[in-house]
Amino acid sequence: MANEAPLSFEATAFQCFVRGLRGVWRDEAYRGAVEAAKRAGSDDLPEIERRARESSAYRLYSWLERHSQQFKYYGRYGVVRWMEQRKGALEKVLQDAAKRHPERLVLDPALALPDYVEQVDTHQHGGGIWSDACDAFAYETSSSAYSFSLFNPRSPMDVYAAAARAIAPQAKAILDLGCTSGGSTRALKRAFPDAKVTGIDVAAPTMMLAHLRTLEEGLEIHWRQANAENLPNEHGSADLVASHWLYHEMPPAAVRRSLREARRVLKKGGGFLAYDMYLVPGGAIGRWLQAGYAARNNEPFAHTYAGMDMKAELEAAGFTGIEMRVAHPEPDDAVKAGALPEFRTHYMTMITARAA
Amino acid sequence: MTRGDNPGEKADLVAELGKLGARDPESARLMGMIVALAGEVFVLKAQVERLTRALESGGAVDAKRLAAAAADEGMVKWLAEEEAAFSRSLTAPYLEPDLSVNATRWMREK
Repeated sequence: MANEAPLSFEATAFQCFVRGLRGVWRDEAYRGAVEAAKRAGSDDLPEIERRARESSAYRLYSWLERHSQQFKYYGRYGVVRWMEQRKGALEKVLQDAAKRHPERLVLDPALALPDYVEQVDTHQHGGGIWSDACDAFAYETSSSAYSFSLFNPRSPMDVYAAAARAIAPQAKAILDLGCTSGGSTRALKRAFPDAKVTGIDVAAPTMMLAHLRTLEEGLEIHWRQANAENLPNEHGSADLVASHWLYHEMPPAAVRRSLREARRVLKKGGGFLAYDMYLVPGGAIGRWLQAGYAARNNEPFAHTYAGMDMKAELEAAGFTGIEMRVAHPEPDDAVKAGALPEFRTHYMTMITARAA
Repeated sequence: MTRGDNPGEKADLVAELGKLGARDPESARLMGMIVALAGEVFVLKAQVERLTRALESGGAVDAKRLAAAAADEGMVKWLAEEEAAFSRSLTAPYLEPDLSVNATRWMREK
């Protein structure tokens, strides 16, 4: 993978510093926050929040959770600021890539972005990942440098692709919804080399970056700018509809519309796969931590998604054989028994189903 | 593994979480300044480490050369430029402590 805008020495050093802060957030501050929450002696989340606020450790934890992310993107050495200084060159890189195999990249300039995309500044990334080339490259750089997967030797993309193979081993037509810059889509293509794999996202810049990275890897993947709530695909045309970190970025009503669309485009018996934050370990304190993360990192739908009854939602949308399990990282015995993990992490839930 | 599906519980919790840094805004600002400063110090340490390694490997550093460099016109100009950039960077988190929108109203979506 080419690096079109390598960070300067100083910016790289500053990002090391921010990662160090994130480490404090993940370890010491987290454990202090958990102890403070336990002292509240309550399963009532607002009460836990009020009592934990008395703890310096929780105040540090919550400050770091919100503001270390802002330091990552902004400030003198922030990733977004760095990319903005190279905007023209980065736009040209994407425009040039779009001219190669243009039949594989179908953009829709008339597509209206949902308000929940435009107004949230997801991950506190001002303007989101959908605005321009700078944002696409900034998202790619920051997600690869800060991903929770750095702390786990098994790539979540491999876990995702393996689950796809398990649910639909003979799939020939695959949709990857909410694919952003296409890492999950490329993992699917590697797992299904003979299938037609299409990545779908509402954001044009990240789709263009996905196209570029795929050309670099020599894969043939199709990209279509569209909303997962209103897919351009024919009824019963897909063998597998998959998504990787999508539904926690959508409000419940949009999730429901997307599930119905997934069922509409799937063949009968086709596979459905959603890899996302859903099941939350650690009881009330785990849910409180997850809600705090949702609030402070501008991922509000991580909270609403965790509150949905996905089994009932999938059944209502026309799915059967619904299964869900924590897939990544593999929870240890203590976490399986209901304990909180030793450090802050996102447990990813694999939800699979079949079109009835 | 559980799901947070108590609507009443959510309403109060979202209100609490939605305050973000509003409970102690002065501390939040000062914390921002301290962390910005610490970040500059970290970058500086990295630069000095890099430079020292480079100079030592070439046998180029001694007291006389350092004194001459300190008086150099380019060094004086750099100081003048850096004092402005450094101060702006240091005080920005105090003047604008929270750059992101407050998106917690979306946590009430049904």
